[in-house]
Amino acid sequence: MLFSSLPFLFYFLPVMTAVYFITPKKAKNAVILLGSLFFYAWGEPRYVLLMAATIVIGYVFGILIEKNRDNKFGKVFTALSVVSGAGLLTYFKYADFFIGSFNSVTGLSVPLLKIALPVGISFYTFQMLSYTIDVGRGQVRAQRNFINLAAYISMFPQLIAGPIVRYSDIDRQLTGRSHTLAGTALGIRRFVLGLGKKVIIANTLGELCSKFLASKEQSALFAWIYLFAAALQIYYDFSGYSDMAIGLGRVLGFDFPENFNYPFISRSVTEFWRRWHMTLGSWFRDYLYIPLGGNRAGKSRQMFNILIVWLATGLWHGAAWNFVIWGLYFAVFLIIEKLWLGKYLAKSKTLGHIYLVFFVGISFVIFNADTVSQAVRNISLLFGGGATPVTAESVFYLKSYAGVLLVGLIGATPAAAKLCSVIRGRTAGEKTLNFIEPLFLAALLLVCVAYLVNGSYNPFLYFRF
Amino acid sequence: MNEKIKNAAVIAVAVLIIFGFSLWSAIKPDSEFSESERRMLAAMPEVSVRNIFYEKGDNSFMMEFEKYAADQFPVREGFRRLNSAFSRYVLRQKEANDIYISGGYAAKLEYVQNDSSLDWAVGRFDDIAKRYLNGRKAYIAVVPDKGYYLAKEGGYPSLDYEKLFEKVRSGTEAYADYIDITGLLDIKSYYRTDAHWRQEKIVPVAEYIAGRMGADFEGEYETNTLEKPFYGVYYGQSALPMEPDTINYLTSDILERAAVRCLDGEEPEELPVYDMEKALGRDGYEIFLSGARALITIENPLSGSGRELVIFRDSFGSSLAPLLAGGYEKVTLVDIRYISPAFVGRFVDFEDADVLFLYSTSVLNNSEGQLLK
Repeated sequence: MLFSSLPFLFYFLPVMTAVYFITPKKAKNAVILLGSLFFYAWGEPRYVLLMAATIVIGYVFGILIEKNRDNKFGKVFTALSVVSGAGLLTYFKYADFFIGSFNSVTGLSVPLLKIALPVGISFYTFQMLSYTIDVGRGQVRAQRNFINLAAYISMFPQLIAGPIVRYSDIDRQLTGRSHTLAGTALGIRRFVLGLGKKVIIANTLGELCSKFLASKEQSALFAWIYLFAAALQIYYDFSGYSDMAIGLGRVLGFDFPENFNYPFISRSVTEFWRRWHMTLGSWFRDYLYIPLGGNRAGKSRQMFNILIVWLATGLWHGAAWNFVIWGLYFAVFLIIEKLWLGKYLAKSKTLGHIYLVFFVGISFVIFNADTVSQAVRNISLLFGGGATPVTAESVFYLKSYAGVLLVGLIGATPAAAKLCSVIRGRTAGEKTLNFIEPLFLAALLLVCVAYLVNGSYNPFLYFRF
Repeated sequence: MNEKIKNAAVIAVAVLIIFGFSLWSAIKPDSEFSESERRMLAAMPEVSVRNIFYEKGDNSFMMEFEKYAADQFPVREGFRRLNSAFSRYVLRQKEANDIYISGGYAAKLEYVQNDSSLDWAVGRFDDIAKRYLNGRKAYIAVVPDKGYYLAKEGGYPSLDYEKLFEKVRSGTEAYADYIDITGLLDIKSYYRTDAHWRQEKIVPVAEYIAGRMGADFEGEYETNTLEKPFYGVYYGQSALPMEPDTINYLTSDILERAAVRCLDGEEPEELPVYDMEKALGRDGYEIFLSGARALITIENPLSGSGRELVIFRDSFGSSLAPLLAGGYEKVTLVDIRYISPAFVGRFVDFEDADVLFLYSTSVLNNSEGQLLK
């Protein structure tokens, strides 16, 4: 089920929240678990069993690891939990990719398994892995209550599109969280803003992207419009979903970690990845980069570690070669910045921004492509690539979508937040903002509903994750 | 307003909207048909093990329920209008659902020439010529869509009409004289909210075509106006607030005495030239010869010309054909979207008949799958 859908907003959400708030405190996690299973089953009824298997693996190994933390079996059980979780992920997500690639290289025709990718498998597997590894490291205690652990791994707000919530983030909240007026209002605000980002901005830009991809007269201008539209669409879609997840979590009494922090104001790729999908970046840092040795074993080993981490990051986003290239593309920039470019970028704000926007923009053309050849073709169009520089079609769509592109560009900076903060600094300003906020949120929610009722373009980008 | 009241207000409005529309959705009786979109609305899907666990994509219970939830949402029309108005007036988008409005006229955004569709259409005309013309000349006229008159001025991309006309002309020149009618029309010749042309504005087109075919033309008409406002197809598709059109229809002695028969069924069905029942129905344009039909004849007992005309046509022909009836004893309209050209000979006598192909650019450019083989 998608947050940005009428069944979620007007069927699931009211029933879920009503039952949740009238249920006694002790049973609230059971309500979350049941609601989450229904939420997941709506999209993947048969794969609920797979998620249940992941939960059982996490639960059993968590206890075994804790019991044996002081002996050699602790590490064995940790390794087994990683192998089981990663094994399921590899089988369901990557088996056909590896077979297909093997067939291409060898010319053989090993039959594909044709397994439908279970939605959200990358997210809940990573959450389970972080739990068992953290138990192994002694950073958290094993959760003895099966329902609490199952509620954590399956929790619907962050189940299919993140953020990746580590067990240590919400360990205490699972058993002792509070529900306040301020917290609930904050959660609602965050959710509605996220819904607006997704439904109004990301989906409209997605429509523009699909017009480019369907165009029979792709021009260089249209390719550049596509670059900006794709980058902003992916940003608003991901960050919108994260906002909705964080908001829903807050309504249920949880504090989820932030996932995006205005990534497009960065001045280097290194900074960009500190602001983009932060929970994924920190997951790979803590559970892959540092265990590989991080930067503690010399420059060349560090570069190797970066390549491995970004190969994994690319593959995490999708089982296709364009994602592998996308990950390695960033690895190259991160290495170059560490070795040489970083110090120059730090000196010039403008140069840093231009560099970041250009190369990150290109990366989203790779990310958004269905195949490597489509990515190459779209990038070549940016620089001419045999296409007409400007067509009437591209000029029309630039004019037609200029408004949403502009809103998207401004919204990707902290300008609006800063403005609100300045206004809030004055007594009259704060009162005015307090008065406007509920009205604005109501209007925004109704406009989002209008888009959904009209059946506007509403893609789900996470089906590959 | 202090922080506490604000927080309470935020929660209150969210609860009111989410729970309010949720309850309203649950108790509201389902609607069957959308007048503005002219389509059946989704009904509540049946619950079965098969459509929950085994059906994929659009056939699954979940997808069908999503369509149902959207189609049956309370004040759906209002929300559709809000969506279109927001994208047009707030985000300043120039089109909604591929419909744009320029100078008060709604038009479809169509600018890519579909050569394979044009080839398909010309192929169908070739087939008709080979089967039925026996070496005689026919006539062909292409009705431009509104983009021909609107697009350039408003800065909207449009078809390369001259290229399209030339492709049709050169593809049919072996058996058909091309009649250029573009100079006889302007944007006011069309309804503002619909794709079609207005009958009262196409008298010069009918006169010109009749002249090119060497037929007499009866030019004396009385203009009548339908009381019911006409919301054309683009009104519903764009969901933008627009004033409705009015439908005018032309009457004369000839048309009052003309006998219209539809040959689609086993027995011929008598029809009026202007179908008032259809006029008050879902699509007011169906007033003209009762809308979509495969085969219709208009017999003019006042004509002593001894001439017959066969028109291969789309819906634009419905309002034009009555105006050509004055010069012929019998006009037969054939819509090969509903009858294969191979079967037309069983119902239509082509002996000495004039033959006219009258098609709009939008049908020609999307003819694959529409015009039958």
